[in-house]
Amino acid sequence: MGNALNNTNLGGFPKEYNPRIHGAYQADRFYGTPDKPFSSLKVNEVFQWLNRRDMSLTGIARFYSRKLYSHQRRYHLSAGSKGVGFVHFALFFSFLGFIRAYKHDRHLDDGKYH
Amino acid sequence: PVGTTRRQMIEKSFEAPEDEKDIAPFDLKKQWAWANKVLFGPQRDMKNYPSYVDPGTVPRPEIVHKFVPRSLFDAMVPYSGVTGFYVLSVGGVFALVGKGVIVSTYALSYFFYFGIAWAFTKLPPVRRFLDNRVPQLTNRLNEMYYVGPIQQKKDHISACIAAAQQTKDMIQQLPKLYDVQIENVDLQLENNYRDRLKQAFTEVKSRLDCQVALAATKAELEKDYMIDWITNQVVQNITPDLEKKNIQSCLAQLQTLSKSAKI
Repeated sequence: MGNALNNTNLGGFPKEYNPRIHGAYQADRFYGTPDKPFSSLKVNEVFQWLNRRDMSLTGIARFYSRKLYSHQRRYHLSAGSKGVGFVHFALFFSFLGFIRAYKHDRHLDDGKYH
Repeated sequence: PVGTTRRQMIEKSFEAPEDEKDIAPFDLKKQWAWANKVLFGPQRDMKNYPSYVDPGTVPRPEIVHKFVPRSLFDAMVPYSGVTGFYVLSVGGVFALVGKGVIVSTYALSYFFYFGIAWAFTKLPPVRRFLDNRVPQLTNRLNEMYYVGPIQQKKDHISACIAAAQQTKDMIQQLPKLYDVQIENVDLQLENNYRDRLKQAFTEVKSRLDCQVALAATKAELEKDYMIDWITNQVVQNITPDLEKKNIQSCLAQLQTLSKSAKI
């Protein structure tokens, strides 16, 4: 029972990654089969496209990580960035904080002077 | 297999295949060669997956109004014109305010505080201080941990070189040192000789002075004794009538002198 995790791939490279083909591993790149980009889809192709995607927990985590790394590479590690990455992070988490605190004062909406 | 641990499986995965065991990495040069063979071999797809680019050399994408990417801005132009983004953002905010989603709370004033702080940083003295802060700190760290130790080592090496050169020159002057030591001994001997000479001279002179003093004392004694003896003999031989005759002759001489004296 202690060897149940032996055939898993926790913390490892994706199965499709091959250094002999893809070179050095870059966290902001997708190493699966290429597919059409989301912005070039028509509305009736969206569900087919989503079914082709890896919607497991690891797949979603990989998507999130890829997006984070690409945003970091584009806006934080580039030359002359001057804190734009920090501003994006701050705005994103401010929005999440807004969503979390939305219900905080809703009992005051019925009031006359609010 | 069943009994293998997770670590053993990972290390087995890091092993090289059989045909590459001769250049497998346990040596840096072999590691470099193996990496080159793996990452830039015949199967490498350079068209779709080009080689690594240092992100510090790539310029930042264009940005409008401090945080909006230009790609988003330009993608909205064919759909809503040049003012699309502004209308969506400002109008959207006003719509949400009207619907009661965004409400003026105590937290909204923090946006204005942020604007005031941003305007404060635009003032030239503050701007100059801020632009200088990071270089100042980096220079301080650089001096403390990189330039300082290197300069210390250079100074230490220069001091060691100077000390070695000094030692070398001192070794060149050692023959002179020997001559100086010999001369020193000679001077001491000369001093000794002169002291002894003086001592001899003083000894001899003292003995001669003693002789002279003895002779002088003896002569003086003889003189005084003879004088005393002669005077005592003369005084003993003075008779009263001789004395009387002497006084009379003196008086007569005085008389004759008084006659011829001029007063």
